Amino acid sequence: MADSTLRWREMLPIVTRELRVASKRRATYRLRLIVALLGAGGLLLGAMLAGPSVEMGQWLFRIMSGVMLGGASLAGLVLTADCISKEKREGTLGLLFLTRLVGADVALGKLGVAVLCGGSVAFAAAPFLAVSICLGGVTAREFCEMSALLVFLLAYSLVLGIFISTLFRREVVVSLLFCLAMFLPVIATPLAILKWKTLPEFYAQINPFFPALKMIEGGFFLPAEYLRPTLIFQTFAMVAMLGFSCAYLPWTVRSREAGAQRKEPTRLRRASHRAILDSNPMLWLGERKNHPLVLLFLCAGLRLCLGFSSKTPFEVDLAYILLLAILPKLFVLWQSSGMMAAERESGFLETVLTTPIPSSEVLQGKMRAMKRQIFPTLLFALLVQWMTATKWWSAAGAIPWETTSLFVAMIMLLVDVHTIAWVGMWQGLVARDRRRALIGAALWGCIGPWLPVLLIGAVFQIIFDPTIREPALVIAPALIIANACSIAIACLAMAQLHEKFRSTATETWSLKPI
Amino acid sequence: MIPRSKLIEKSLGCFRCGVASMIPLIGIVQALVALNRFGFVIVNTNERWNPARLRLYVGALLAFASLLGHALIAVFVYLKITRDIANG
Repeated sequence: MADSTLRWREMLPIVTRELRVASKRRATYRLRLIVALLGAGGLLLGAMLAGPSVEMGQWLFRIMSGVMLGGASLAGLVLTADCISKEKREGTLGLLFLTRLVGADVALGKLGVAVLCGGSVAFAAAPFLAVSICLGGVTAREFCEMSALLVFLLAYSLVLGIFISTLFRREVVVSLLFCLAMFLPVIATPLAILKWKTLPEFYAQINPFFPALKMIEGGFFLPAEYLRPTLIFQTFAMVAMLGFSCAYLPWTVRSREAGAQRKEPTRLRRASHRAILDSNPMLWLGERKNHPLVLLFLCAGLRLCLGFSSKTPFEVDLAYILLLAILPKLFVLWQSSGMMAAERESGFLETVLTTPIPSSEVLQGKMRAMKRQIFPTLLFALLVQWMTATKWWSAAGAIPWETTSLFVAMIMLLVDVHTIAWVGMWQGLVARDRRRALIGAALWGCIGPWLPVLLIGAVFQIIFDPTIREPALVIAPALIIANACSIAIACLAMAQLHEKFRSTATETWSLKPI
Repeated sequence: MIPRSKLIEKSLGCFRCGVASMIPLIGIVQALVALNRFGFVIVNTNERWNPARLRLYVGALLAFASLLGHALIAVFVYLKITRDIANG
């Protein structure tokens, strides 16, 4: 009985050891710069969007809260989602249990480190939020409430990461499940509001963002009376997840699984494999893990789900095309960054580079494999968008703005998928692990093209202070600049990949000196 | 493997076309040629030393700037024309 009790003295060395490792990581120090840049970006955006000081304070408060909301939700993915599963993969978790440590020591030790790292960054970002109090429009009480809710979200994200990391072993699985558990309820919220005109209590409770989002949006869509039950529910969920992780952790130690029996391919499939292998061996290797039809059926099946959840056909069409504008990008983002990061981490790329295959052929094969994977889904998405656009066009009798927007969305989808594919591969090559590659690719590929748009808009607003009555005069140049930046980022990623492929693929990531 | 001399030649060509892409209207074609050459050199360099690397990048940058400028001007002209037609 005495052996199963939690020993704080033994948990602390784990924390000390992990903090020593963190102190030697570049990312620990780079995060300060990133937080400062995000804060400065938020201040600039606040200055752009508002005139009087009070209004600017309110805008700044919302923008900075949004930025911190994103950071707090991603903290779990970066800090805890792979901390225990990595130990399992490397076989070091069993070694920990050979000592007098129990599950709670390990789980709480890992969580303690993550809380210290994440908390220090959140503490550094808090002054940017506090600037809004000085500008006016936000009370100290609102600031304190928002800070507390952000800390709560951070804690939820970290505990969820520990929970998922305890249950699963593979990095790709833990990352995917974390993203689903964290972000799926937020994505489902607009659909739920479309259907029921308000948010059901259960949706609020499973949505980790609900308390902070309610504070930002001011109670127009999200009911205030759900705040207390949601906080209570999520607190219990955190305690339950942590308790389960502590109890279940020792049972997750096991030897490596024997490889599953592979099915023999048919003759036709073998001939197809031979043809692909002759054209590009990397394409053949990439093709083996492709499931293009699964993605296609997933996208097609969503239509049925939306049909059940929405009331009018217009709502169904709108929600579906929005999803189809996002999903192919997410698929490519996931595959491109994950595939390259996993292959570099496992040493596969290094092995490939010892063969006579030139690096350009390796990259070309990977890109072709990715295009083959996404092609049916992308074609389906474009077809659905085109059909919806023409349906609205014929219903209106003239070209409505919805049709124009859809045609623009189709072009953007094509450009963005191409960009994200290259950026994902680039980040997968240079990032330390799969999760960092995913975040880097999302920042460069999805958010990066819009930053110059915001910057140019802010400069125009501050210098010229124009009064624009037509939205087209703002939207059209913004879309063009974003698309051009997207293509430029794709070219940069392509150039970086080709130039540094050999040197980076053979680089090891064993704790570089700062 | 493509000879290095050809890569250098293409890099200089990319710069030349990038500069030429600043000419209104004709510049669009030159910008596309510059980007095409940029892609060719990047894919075929295979981590070899390219003394014209800077010119290659400057050429691509100029081509982008040209395409962006052309696109923005085209949109403003289009909006102006549609507004004039709508106002009669």
